[in-house]
Amino acid sequence: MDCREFQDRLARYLEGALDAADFDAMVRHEAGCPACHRLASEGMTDARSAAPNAALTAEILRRTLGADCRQIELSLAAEIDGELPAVARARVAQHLAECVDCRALALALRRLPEAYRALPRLHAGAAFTRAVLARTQPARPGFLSVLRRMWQGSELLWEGAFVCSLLLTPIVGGPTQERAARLRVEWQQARPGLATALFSPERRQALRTDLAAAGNRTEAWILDLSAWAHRQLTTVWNGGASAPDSTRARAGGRNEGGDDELREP
Amino acid sequence: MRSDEELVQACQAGEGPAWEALIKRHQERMLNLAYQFTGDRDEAWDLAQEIFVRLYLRLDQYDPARPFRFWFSSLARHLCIDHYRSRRERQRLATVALEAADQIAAPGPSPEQHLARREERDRILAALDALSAISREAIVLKDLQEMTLEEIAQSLDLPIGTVKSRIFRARIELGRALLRQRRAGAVAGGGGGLP
Repeated sequence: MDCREFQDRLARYLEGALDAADFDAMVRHEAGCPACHRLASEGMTDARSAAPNAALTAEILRRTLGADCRQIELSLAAEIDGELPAVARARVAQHLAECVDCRALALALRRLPEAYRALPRLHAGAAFTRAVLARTQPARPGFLSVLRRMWQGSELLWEGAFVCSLLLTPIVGGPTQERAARLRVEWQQARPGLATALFSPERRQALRTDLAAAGNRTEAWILDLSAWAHRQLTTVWNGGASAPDSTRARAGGRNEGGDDELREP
Repeated sequence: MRSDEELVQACQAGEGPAWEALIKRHQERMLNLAYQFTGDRDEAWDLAQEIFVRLYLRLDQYDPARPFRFWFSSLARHLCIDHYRSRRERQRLATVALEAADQIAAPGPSPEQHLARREERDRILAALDALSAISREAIVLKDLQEMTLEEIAQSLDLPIGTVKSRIFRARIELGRALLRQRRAGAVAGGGGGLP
């Protein structure tokens, strides 16, 4: 709108006879053009002096209906919801015709729905769901953590078994020299061939010689290791007396004495 | 389709898919609520996640006698307001100017319209930022989240008359903030704005 159009419509503007679109256009132009704003203000003064009855009516209405700026502002805010009664609408229109500040506020408030639409709607999508789930639910255990848990479980099992054995040993009794000898005798009586194979140093020696001759060093080494473990066990079972040939057997890799046997008391 | 309350009960029983369904059902609303309070996409993303984490931690405290939607809204609103207040305090201390958030692509038919839309968005965000926490809450719940007066009253635990009054005053506050911006824009641009 230019100044000429503004001046053409000024009379109807001051009377409040314009429709909403024209009224808004007039308010915008008046707001941006100091000359037209001055003209409108003077026009309002002239209209009041020229038509004292209209000014008097407006004044009476203002005082009787209490249409001050504060109340008009609340009405303007309610107008957005479309629940302003007809009487209140008329009061607002009358007030806006003479109050520049309220006209500007009315324009700003009437534009609010449009301003709200300028705000974008964000879309969350699957990425958001994943992000929340990651923060609220524990992660699925990986292969290593499963292995670790199994190991910890079996470790606990072993510890439990050890504790049980410690508790049971005083009750049942550990393997003593006497019991070991008795076991060997019982084995020899029941299965003489197997007992001889298990406890005979000659058999071990023969096997060791065969392996050495064949150059099978790995199996010979395993046999030595087994013999050494057997001697250690025998030593413990015999009450701490070390076997006389164990050192020699370890150093020479040979097993010539009777130290593989469970000793008699 | 299961109701919110049923989903919550399933969550309380440790049913993982129910929790995922609950997130999917409310994530859009919560993300936009957070955005309307923060005005920043990244902050909104983090804040909305925080809302769901808080919900997850407090699921056991949910009283089935109360509608879940209001209970959840209330929880989210408290977090948003706390965040809004702390952000304003940070801004005040650092005297940081309003950021020109320019991450949201709004594909318009022309660059001019796109620019105008961005300017309008920045204006409304700046005006919203100028509001007090209570006024912003009223605008967000009524005008942006489009909740009814009854829903807001129930969510805030206030009489409808008080809620209405808050909304009207908030709109006036917002309208004035927009006017101030336009005046400032008119001064900077050499006229053309509102008085």
